[in-house]
Amino acid sequence: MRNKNLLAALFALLFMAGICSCKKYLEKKSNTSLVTPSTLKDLQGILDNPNVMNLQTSAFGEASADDYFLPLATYNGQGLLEQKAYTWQVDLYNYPNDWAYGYNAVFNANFCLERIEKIEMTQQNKTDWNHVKGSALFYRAYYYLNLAWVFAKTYDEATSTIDLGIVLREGSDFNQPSKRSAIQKIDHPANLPTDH
Amino acid sequence: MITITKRFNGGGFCLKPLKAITVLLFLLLHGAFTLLAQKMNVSGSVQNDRGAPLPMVSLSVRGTDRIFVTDIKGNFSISNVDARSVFIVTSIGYKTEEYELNGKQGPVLIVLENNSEELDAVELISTGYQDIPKERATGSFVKIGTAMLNQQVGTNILQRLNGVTSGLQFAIGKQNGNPQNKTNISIRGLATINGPLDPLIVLDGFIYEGDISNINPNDVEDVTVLKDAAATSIWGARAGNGVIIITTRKGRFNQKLQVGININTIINEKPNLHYSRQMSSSQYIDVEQMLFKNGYFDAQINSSPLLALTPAVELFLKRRKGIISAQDSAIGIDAMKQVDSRDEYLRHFYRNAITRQYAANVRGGGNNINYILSLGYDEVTDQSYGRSNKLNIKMENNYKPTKNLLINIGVYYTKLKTTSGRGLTYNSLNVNGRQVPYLKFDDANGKAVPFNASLNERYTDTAGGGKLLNWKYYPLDNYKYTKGTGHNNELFATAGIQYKLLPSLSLDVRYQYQQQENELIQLNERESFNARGIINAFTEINRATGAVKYNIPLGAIKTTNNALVQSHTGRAQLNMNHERNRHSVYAIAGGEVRASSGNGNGYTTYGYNEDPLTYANVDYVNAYPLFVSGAYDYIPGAPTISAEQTNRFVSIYANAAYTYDNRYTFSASARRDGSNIFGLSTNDKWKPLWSAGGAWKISHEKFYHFKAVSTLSLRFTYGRSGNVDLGRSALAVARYISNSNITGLPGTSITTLNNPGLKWEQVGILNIGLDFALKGNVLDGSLEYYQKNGTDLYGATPYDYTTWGALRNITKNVASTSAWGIDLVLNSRNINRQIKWNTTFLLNFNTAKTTKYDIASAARISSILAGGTGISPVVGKPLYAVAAYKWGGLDKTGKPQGYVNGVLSTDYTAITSEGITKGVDGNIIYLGSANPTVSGAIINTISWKNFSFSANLIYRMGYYFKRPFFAGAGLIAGTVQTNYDKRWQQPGDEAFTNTPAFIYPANEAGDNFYRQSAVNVLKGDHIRLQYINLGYTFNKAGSNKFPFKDLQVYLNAANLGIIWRTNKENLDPDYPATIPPVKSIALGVRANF
Repeated sequence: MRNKNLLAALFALLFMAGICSCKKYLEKKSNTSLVTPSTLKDLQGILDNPNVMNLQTSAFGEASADDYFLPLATYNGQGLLEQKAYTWQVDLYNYPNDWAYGYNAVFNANFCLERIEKIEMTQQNKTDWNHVKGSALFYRAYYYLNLAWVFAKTYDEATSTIDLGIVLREGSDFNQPSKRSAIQKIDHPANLPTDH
Repeated sequence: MITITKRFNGGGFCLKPLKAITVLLFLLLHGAFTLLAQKMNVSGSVQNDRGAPLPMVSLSVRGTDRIFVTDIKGNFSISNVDARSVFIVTSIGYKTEEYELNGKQGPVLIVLENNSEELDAVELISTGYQDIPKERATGSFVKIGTAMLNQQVGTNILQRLNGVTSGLQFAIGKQNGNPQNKTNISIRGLATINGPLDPLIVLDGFIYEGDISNINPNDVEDVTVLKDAAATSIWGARAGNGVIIITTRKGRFNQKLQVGININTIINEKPNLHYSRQMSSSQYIDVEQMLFKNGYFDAQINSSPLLALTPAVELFLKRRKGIISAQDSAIGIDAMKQVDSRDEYLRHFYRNAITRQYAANVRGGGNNINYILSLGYDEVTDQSYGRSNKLNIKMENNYKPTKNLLINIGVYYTKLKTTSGRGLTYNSLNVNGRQVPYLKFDDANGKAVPFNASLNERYTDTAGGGKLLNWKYYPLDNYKYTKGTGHNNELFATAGIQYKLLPSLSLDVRYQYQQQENELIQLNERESFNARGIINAFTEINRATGAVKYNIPLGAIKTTNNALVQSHTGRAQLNMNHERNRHSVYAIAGGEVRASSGNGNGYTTYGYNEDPLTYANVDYVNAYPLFVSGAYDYIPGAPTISAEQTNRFVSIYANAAYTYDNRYTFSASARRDGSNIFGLSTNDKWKPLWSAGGAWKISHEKFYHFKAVSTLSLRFTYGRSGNVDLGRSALAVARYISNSNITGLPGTSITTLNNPGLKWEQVGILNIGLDFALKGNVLDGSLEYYQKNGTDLYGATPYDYTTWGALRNITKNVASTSAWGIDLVLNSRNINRQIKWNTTFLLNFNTAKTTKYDIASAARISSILAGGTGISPVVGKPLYAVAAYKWGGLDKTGKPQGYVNGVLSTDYTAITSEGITKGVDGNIIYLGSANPTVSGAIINTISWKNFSFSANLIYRMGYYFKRPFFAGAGLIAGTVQTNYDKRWQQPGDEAFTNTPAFIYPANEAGDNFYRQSAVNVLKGDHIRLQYINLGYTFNKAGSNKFPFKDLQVYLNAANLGIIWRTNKENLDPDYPATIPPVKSIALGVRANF
């Protein structure tokens, strides 16, 4: 009988050890460099990531333009994609492409614009706060314009309300479906959603 | 209770149940009950299997307390015993034998088999948490004992499982981005697409996360591979890929002091660089000449700063500029055409590799203590002159202060030092991306010649007006000034207490600690090109005053990287082993807490001098102008601290097996794991995994009278294991990235979108097994059928790029796979006389396919046109699979032709479109798996007198591979091609060649089509001779002066090549485009005394 009690006690002990202590124990972050972006510093960091924010301007507009020319020897040495861009040929331009790159910057800007509303502007952080919001608005507008140049139809006043433009994203929730807006909405910066 | 005690008690105790069953069976089958219980006298002798008499052997009569001992000549005589007595014959170093008298009177001869290296007779199998008798296991286990492990000689224990382990396959030549994929081992195929591929490795009962090469194979007693869910589910969420249990050698109680020694030397040949039939240097230079004439290099020639050109192009340029005469140019080019850089690399940078292994152990035990101390020392000089020295020390003690208490302490320590060699591997040098197959490293006098990899020497010779350091790179002796040194210290320590609470119940408390420290030091002396180059790059010269400013101080550069990995595991476990009448229960229940963490740091020291120690400071904060471009950049090497990676697991588990009458066994197990890897929701952290199974010993049934098959049993299990990627997180995470070299600001990058639904992968395994042995044990084996279904697998799924755009796809638990297979093992004793000949035959069939994958490419067969080397999920097809375009031969101009709407075509865009839209209904044919679906081995072991011989043939079948092919665009870009000779050269060639013409400008679209066409896919079926082993054993039998109990000299030859293949091109299907492993020869001595 005594042994049975002992057994029960041991099992209880094991069980307690398994259940009680684990919750707190398991809250440890698995990688110290992982951050859930929430502070002004995090948001500024997102906008300061040049690989996403500064280096993704689509170059196809320029590559296809007549601002320069290639001698045949140089042209022959180019890759297929560059040759096609130069000669205006159709290419199945799959991911990774400038379309996605541009929207990655848009996502970051939207993400910051959303999160910054949850941070109270104080006397101390006013400069930083405005800096984040201002940069985010600029980046979004910059990439919209750039995407419109490369991927939307040329602006024609007569048809601008029905010609398809680009997708204008209102927020960072990826479950929200995207839809292409009319070209007129892009060409008039006043029509951009700016959170003002 | 069973967990530890059994092992410490040695073989005798654990052999009993089986022997008892055998005896029972024997009695039933042979109707021995007819013998009357009469008394008689008997005499005889005991010998070992080589005919030597064995003194001091104990014979105890079962069911009585009578014990007899043989005399000095191995003889015994026993009076007044039951005519159907059973003698239990035991002697240290020999297998316990049960001898049935069966009324025999005349001198009886009892032969004991050597125990030191038993092949398959050990009945206990380890799951890591407990040892269970194989008789009562319902799950699928493979145990590889010392003798089988010793048939191969390498320093890596996992490599020794190759070709001897049923259901275990090494992936060769596969590349994929899967996490936790260090071993290349898959057990029964894969049940994951993007998850970890490694099986879980367990050392002496605890998860081992160190470097597997730190475990000295000479310290390993046996390896058990757990294959089905009943076997693995006790390891929970990380066991989905199977579990490999490594058990080291132990001391035993009541064992005489034993000393074992093993010394060997392994020699590996230089790599066979001539394996690939690449184009000649002469042909390559002709192509460069053609490109030069067509202006291909003009942009590079006129670049600023001047970029390096290959030696031939440089010479053509000199000729064009009129610097050298046509005759000198021709002489120079001719000389280059004679050089084959493969010979040059072999001559200067490769050697035969030599591995020397020394191992010794001392073990023994008394009544209440046992011990083992083993030492291992490996010394390796590799093919590139790199060296490594490894020391292993293992100590383990078991102490039994009272009858009910057992204390265990074990320490395994490894110290490894590696030193870099000459470092240059074949084709590792290239000129701005162009290979140079005619590269020579020395001149006629043997003096090192410089090589320009990136900047042209016409620039580097004059830049800085003599104020820079010499900017030339001399590959031949640069290695003398660069030295990489690695230090690796590992400690794996365990401590445990086992207390017997009741005769059938014990409590086990165990703790394990592991620490692995790694330090890598790269020292580039001032004389090295590496140091000179970076110092020059950051040198500023004032053009007006001529003043030189070194932003990186002169001197050596030392880069140090440290990494530390630690793990702790604590475990408390109750063991029950209860046997009464016909009922027996083996059960465990316990809880475990495990934490592992890793971190690292690195820094660079400039202006370093070792003795006297001096070093200088550099400015990491400000950017400095680069000498060549004038752009501003930061000095590399600022201290880095890598993030602390912590994985925590809390688990509770239970496992029970109930056996009735040695006939029916039922087993069940369950485990719940919690971990910090997943998000906030506890539901995601806790995941129950379970298994259930049964085994039926048919041959133990009373109705079983089929004498030809003496043992027959059936096993059936089903259960679930998990597979977890330790790198994942369900949170929306951003990662701080180091200061940008453009803005200098710290950045943050959003790497993962929030996905609260992220779960662990699940693997469900059904296993049906049949074990059998024929009468007289001439043949035994097992046949197993399994189904292995992966669900909730991490899978890429497409999304709208305008919502994020940072990744092509996002990953969710959306995919699934399904696999089934057969494992067959046959062991036959073909001849068992003076000559013994045993054969082991392994056959594994496995086919796995993706059953659900969301992205559009998974629905198109065209996704695996480039497949074969990576996992590319296409629904309904194997994970590694190949499809190809139908091949239409070459047209009249040597262009490769495919089909569009069933008509020959060279419109590659149309061919591609049809492939994507119509798949196999259009111009694509599906070929099959790129991983062997049928594989296995045939191991023959022959022994005669003191000689032993074994040979292992491995076969891999039912798969396809891509042969190396000629690509014109690749050749233009500067990659040496194969099959250049076979290319189409003039109209009419299309009748007998399939290799397209070489044209400039390149036909890149044509190359792409050709690369993916069926003509380049071959069948991979082949048989290779994995190893042969020859041994001669000297033993005491012959002479009393012989100091050893036994001494074996052995010769091993491995990687002996392919002996049969389907492809006609003499290609090794596992290494079509890379250099196959080289032959190795080992000579060694094993001794015991």
